[in-house]
Amino acid sequence: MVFSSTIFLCIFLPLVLLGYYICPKKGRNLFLLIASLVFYAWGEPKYVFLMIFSIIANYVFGLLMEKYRQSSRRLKLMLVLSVVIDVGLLCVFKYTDFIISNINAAFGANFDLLKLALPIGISFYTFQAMSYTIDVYRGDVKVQRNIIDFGMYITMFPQLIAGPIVRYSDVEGQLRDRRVTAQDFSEGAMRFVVGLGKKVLLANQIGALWSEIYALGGSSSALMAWLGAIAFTFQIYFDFSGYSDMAIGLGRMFGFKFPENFRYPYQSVSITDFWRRWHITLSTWFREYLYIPLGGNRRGFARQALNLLIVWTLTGFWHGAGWNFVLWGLYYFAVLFVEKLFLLKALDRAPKILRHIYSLLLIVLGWVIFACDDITVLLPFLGSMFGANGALGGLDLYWLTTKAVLLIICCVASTELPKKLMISLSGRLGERPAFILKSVLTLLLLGLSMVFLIGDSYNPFLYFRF
Amino acid sequence: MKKLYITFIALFLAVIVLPAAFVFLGEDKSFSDNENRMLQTAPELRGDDVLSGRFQEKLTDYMSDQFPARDVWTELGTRLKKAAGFRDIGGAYLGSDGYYMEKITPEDIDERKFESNLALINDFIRESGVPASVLLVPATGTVMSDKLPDNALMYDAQAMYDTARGLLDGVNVPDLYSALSANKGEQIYYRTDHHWTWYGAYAAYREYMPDGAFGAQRELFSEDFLGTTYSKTLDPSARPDSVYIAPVAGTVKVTADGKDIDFYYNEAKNEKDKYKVFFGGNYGQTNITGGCDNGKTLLIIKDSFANSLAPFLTADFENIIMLDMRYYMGSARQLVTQEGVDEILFVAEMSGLSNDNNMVKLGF
Repeated sequence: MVFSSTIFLCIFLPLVLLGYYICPKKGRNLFLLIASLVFYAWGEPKYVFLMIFSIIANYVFGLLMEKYRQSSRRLKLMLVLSVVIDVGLLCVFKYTDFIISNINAAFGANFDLLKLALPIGISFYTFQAMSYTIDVYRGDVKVQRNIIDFGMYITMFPQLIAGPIVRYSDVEGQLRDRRVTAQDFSEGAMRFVVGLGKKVLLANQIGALWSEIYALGGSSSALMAWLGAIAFTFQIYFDFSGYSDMAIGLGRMFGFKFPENFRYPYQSVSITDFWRRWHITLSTWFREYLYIPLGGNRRGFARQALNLLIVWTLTGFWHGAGWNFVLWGLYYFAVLFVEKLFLLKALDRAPKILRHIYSLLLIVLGWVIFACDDITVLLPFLGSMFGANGALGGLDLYWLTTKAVLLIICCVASTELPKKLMISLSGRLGERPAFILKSVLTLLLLGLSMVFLIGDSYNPFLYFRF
Repeated sequence: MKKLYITFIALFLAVIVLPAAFVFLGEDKSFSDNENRMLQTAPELRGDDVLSGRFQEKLTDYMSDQFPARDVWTELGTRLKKAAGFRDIGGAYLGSDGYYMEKITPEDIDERKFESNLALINDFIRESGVPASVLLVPATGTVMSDKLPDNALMYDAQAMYDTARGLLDGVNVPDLYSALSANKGEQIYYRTDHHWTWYGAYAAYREYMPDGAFGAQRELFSEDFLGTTYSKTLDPSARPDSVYIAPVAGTVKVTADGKDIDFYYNEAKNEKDKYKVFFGGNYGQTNITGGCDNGKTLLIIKDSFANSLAPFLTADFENIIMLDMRYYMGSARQLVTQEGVDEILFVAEMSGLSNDNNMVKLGF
């Protein structure tokens, strides 16, 4: 199930809220666990069993690690086994076909593809599970003996599909004890609606422009290619950060405080800065559970470079089973490495506007690599951006003029400006009027999002019954 | 403050819960005229459907299809998109003077399929050994380009005539683009539908048969036609079109796939799609006889554009057989000899022909 659907908004969410709040406190985690499994099973019922297996496996390994706490060899063995199972499942379901098709291509072999549907959210919940087992191994968190609480942590429907990647240590206390005030709930609902609006009103609309331009197969005027690249840049931000907002908001409505995932990434002044603002929980995960264990920057510069290379290759690969994602990871490795070498110092002395332009250019180019999942489109597309097919032509001026308002809204909405405006307005109005204003705006945004959701379901099927 | 929080929460919940209440308590609609499709009605809860995910899928569709006042919200969405500067919605350009035109860009044309379909048509004509014409109908936006939004683009109809003339040897390929353009003083296309009007079809008829026997008579059929291109946008400011029909001789008999039908389907007046007035729709094989008395037989292989062209041709051919290859499963080749066809006419909108998968059936 996706959040941006009438079935979630109008049926699932109200029912779950109702059930949760009439449930006695003791049963609430069990209720959320069941609700989350239903949520997960909505599209692909079979994969619920995969998830249940994952829950049981990590739960048991947590207990085993606790049992073998005194024997470091066995303790380590348990950790290795749990990681092998988690990463193994991820590999089997996400990467097998990619590996097979590459073997086929490289050796002229002819192995059949498995054609497994990707279990939704597997990349997210696997990483969440590993944050638990690794932290138990390290003794950073206490072992969880209650399988319902643990299962609920893995499956929590708000962040199940698209993050944020909530580490076990982030919510360890909240699993047992959390309370929700009317203020928490209202603010959660408001945050949810902001995310819904980002997804439905901005990401979906600007995404339609990207699909049109991507369908040209990479050959277009320079203006068209840049429009496409910018459209995708906005689409992925509003889509992804919208989902995170919805997750964080929903979490608050159930008493959870999830970590923030985005901090106005398009306001970055360097790529190093960008990666502190974009998908923060993923970067944190890789830093905590891969980069630092590999030695981080403590084992000399050459080793640090290698560590960064490993982390960024895997970060790219985590995003999808395709060469473009690996390339995208390597691209960021290269840029970040150069920034570490000298560029960051040079940038510090440059005027701020130049630093913004530098960052945005590299970010947009990065998204082109990311977006061209048909890797044969990538080079022609980059060529088009740099004038291989002329500056103007096709529908580019049409798109520019008819999407101008949307593009401007996207620009403004991706900055801190609206938030600052709201804060300064609240300061002047006082607490109560400010809340009333926010309520009205939220309800309007909710209504508007629903209008567009309905519009998306409007599907003229004109040759039917002819 | 607490009261305010509670009030907001209550309003928030009301907005999300009320639609569901309406859906479950109200009566289901089974068909959407504007979308021309069946709507999902309340699904039955069945164990195997739940396991396969079918039930969940249906319930999801049910909620969005039965959403209260769904068309009103869609119209509001269109209004907002228009206000934000959007000039195409659901695949239709919002043109000037109330024109809603299918958006078909050069990228939407499958040139290779267009050429292979023309080659199939050419083979069919050559084998039949009968004089033949191919009427390639340009879509509204190509001829009415002055009504397109600024900087909008349509496929290049002229270039497609050149392609067709190069591939069809010894076949008459009239330049309908020029013929229609020359008649732009009249309303040759519907503003709210993708078809041509009486004027457009008549201009094409004159181009195809300069000495054709049909006079320029027309009759008003309906004044409130909101067609397919309107339906794509659901723009509340759309003005309805008038539908004119060409009166045919009272002696004309029509059978569709073997069943007797009326030439003009009067019920269309009460239905959404007024273009259905022509035969009530499309059939695999339509036989029209008795419009005149000259013993000549015309075979038309066509899409829906031919439905409004056929009335004129009844004055020139005693027998007209129309085949719609999307639905016709027999052998068109055998039909040519069996029925003693004197002339063959292909009628198809160009972009439609460039994406058509049914022309291979001509070889059956």
